[in-house]
Amino acid sequence: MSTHDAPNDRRGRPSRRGMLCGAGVALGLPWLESLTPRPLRAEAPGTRRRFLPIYLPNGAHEYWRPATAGSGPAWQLGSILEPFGAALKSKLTIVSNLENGSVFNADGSAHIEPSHALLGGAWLTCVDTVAARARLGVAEAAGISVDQVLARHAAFRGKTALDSLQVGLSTPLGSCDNEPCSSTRSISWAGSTSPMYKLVDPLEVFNRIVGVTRPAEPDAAAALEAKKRIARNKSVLDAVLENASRTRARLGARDQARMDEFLESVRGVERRVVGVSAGMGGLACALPSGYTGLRVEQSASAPRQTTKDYDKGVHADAMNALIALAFECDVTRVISYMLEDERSEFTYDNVPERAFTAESSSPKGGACPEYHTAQHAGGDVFATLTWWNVGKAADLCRKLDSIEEAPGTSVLDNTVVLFGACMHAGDHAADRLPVALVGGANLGLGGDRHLVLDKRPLRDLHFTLLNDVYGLGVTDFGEHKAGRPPQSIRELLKA
Amino acid sequence: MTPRSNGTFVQRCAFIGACAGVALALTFAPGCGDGTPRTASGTGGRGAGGVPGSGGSGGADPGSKAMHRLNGTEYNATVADILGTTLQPATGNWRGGEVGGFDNMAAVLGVDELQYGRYLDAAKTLATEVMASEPLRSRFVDCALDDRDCASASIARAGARLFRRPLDGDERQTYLRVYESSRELGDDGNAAFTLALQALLSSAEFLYRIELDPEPASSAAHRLGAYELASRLSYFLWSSAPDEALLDAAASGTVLSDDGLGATVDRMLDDPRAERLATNFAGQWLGAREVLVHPVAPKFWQWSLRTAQAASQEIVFYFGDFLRSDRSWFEFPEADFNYVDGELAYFYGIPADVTGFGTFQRLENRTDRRAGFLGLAGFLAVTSLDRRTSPSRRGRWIASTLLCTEPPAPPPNVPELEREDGPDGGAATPANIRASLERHRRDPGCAACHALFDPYGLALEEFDAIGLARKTYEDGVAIDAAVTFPPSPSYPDGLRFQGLDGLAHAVATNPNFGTCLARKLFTYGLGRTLTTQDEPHLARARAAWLAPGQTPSVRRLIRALVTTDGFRSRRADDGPVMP
Repeated sequence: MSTHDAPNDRRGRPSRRGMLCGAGVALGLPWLESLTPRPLRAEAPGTRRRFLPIYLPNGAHEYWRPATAGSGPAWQLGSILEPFGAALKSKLTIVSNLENGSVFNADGSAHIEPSHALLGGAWLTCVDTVAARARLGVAEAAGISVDQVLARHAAFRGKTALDSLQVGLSTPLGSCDNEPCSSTRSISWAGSTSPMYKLVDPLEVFNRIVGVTRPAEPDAAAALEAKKRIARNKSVLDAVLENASRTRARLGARDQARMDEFLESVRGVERRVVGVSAGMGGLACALPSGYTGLRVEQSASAPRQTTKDYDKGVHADAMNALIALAFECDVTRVISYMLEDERSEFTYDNVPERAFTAESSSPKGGACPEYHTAQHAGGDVFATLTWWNVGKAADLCRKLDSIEEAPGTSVLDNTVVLFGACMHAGDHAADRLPVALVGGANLGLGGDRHLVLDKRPLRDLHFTLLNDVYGLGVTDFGEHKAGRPPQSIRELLKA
Repeated sequence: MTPRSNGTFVQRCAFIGACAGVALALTFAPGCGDGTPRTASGTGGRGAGGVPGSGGSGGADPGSKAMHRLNGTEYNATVADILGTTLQPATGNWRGGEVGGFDNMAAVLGVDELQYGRYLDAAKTLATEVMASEPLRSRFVDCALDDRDCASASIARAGARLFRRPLDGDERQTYLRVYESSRELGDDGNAAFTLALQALLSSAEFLYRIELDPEPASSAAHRLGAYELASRLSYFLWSSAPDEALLDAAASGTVLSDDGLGATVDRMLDDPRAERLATNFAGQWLGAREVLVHPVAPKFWQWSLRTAQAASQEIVFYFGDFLRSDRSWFEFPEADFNYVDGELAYFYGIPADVTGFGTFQRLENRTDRRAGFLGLAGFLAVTSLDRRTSPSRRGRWIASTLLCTEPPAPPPNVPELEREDGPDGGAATPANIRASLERHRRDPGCAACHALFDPYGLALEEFDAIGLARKTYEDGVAIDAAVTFPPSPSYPDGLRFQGLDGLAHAVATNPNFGTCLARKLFTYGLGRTLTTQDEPHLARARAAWLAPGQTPSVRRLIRALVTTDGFRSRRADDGPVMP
């Protein structure tokens, strides 16, 4: 979305929009040489609290789980988690024995079908979508997701130009597991009936980030033209709102609810138009002026993409850079990130198969089959794809850790990265979930630890984040079929 | 896991209590023990037997449907048809809404701020393009736009096409005000009208198909208005807005009469835009889209992206042949023709004088063992795993997709045919899938369910995972494509057949085969999932379709479906049950 036109006639000249924030961008983006980031807000760096769930599709290979429990030298990264490396190990907690089956089964059974859709949709919501749909009488439902509880709370809302951002790397629009696609293609929910689909095109993400900033107008004539542009946009939106409101009055109750969803979307855009004109979105650093890097389009009918025209590694690197940019410039503090859609059938032709033991891996050669088949096949092909995705998550964490915020602390220290999958492995089980917490040292999270819990609901982890890490004081989150109330996982917190 | 395209659950066994069927009537009996597929509302099927309510659907509930946002395909087709643009603003990144195998389901086509932003951007681009081109501009403008009355008339003309009905006075005022505010900013008439056009293209009344109830608080059924019916028809048959002729038929009320409706359907199916029905309906139902993204292992060097594209296109053309011709639908499994370009002819080994890629020719070829829909490479590939055939997957696909009988969900903790063999074992691919499957089915719990769909797939084992003919498995054992179904109410003596031909005949004569097309077309045409309330409408359409003395063509079925009250009527919803 661009509610104003980015000025691109000033490219090459240093300006407020001339540049990004130091993080060393490895992409071929036409981002200009560095200007000194300048904080525009009173809020001191280092007091920003962020949340970044990173979704790993299709479970994880068994070698995810470290061999031993404990802290420091008592535990080691195995072959799958190796990409985090020693430096990030000190900021990493692996949490074993979380389960999400109790959302669906009163007896806590880990068997759920269709597993990809139901467990994927419950990863950040801990809500049984089938029961929610029946209860609400709608075709598509879950519950508000943990990232959106944060984004909509006064501690977050209004602090940044964007409440939150949803991004991902999926390209083929594959099977949705016979459920509404919101369950496999999105993890964030604004409310019980509002899935938040993600952006996969780096250009759209870029525009979303810069689209909420006000360009500095070089002179009075340009400022007047900008004013007119906003007035024209506003007159379009006013007409749309006026007519839709009139139509709404003639609709039945269900369509009125649907029209309200439309009206809210239009007003959201309008707020941004007005907000930009009012100079909303004071940024901690200046943004680059344009983007000509990788473009990505999802497709249900385009030919299967191959290394010839698409490299998921490049896509991941571009998205990682944009996420880091959004955090560094404080455009938003809540981002959810899907490394792929759940039940992905993407063929990673560009990832050579590796040979794995529990401790290490080495090149093996040969191509991996598509992801979902690999998940079922298990063995090296599945381990390779888990490892590759772990590597991309680790790259992002490293990048966030390289951005200094207050002296001696990094963006990562002020961010909780929740990295994991909705199911265990090829068995599709809802227990023994692969879960990692990275960063968050300034938010009270410990690190360098493999924590093996007695079986606990995933919801307890979300509840702990909301209450003990972000201090929101919520009394409930998600569901438990047997009615057990959520409880904090104290072991996660620094003593 | 997905019945349609998951490759592994079908190798699981036993059974969990309740079967998976939901609203759509057709399920297997719980437990699968008696091997009896059944429907919730009679047997349905070819012929009159077991069809309830053959007296008609008068008074039956037509159902309600949410206001219906255009999906990306419909958006692109609509702006192409109305504006004459070649721009295709909707991409795969646009928010879609897919459930039950179709991407035009109203209930899941929600909108959010991100998607609305894309609409705004597209509206601006489109309006600017249209007004920069004299031929496109002249569709709506034939006077000087600096004149306010000219602008008002042009807004009415564009609005009637975009909203698919005439604008009322208030609406004309609303969009004229956009023009006026633009003029007040100093813009000329052309720029000001461009902005008004942009507003029309950004409006809910364009982006959604909205159907009104005279009394929103009452849930009584009522006939659709003529313009609403016209839009239902055009989005069903053309994936696009009504053209001028259809709007005229709505204005005069012609489209409301049985005869007028029938004539309208005939005209629309004869129009080239009806190809979109084959592309979008059959493309989704019969897996043509999926062929394009279906993974195929590198060992199948004969398969390339071009093969996939050609095989996908062939499925669409094959269905399109039945849509255009007056041929019986029941020949679909057996008709011996193919659509090939150079790529696919070479792949099939069919002698043909077509050369090159993407130019297709219809060929009747009776010299090979390949015939009918079930012999198409696209079907055979998309129902296989990437590196081997899966008879269970093919069988289940036939049962659920072509026969609308939904086998149950797989049970927990069952063995898989291909499992993790340890860190260096990788995935073992069985050399002889029939033998593996038979070992797997020795468990009586497995056998009950697998017996209901595996035989369909086993009959196709003479075609490999990309649809090439073969005689033996990789272990050298000759392929046995003879299969047996256990006795069932439809087939008290069981059913035995052999190979592709036997299977094709079994599918064509299966009592669910015709009904299934009717269900799929009705689902797609209405843009909502069916419920038991739709059964009387389906029964009525089926009876008209299969009346003796007529060829049961696809066209005839479409005419029967749109003439039912299920298509021509609606009622207000029962109210939201919101949190």
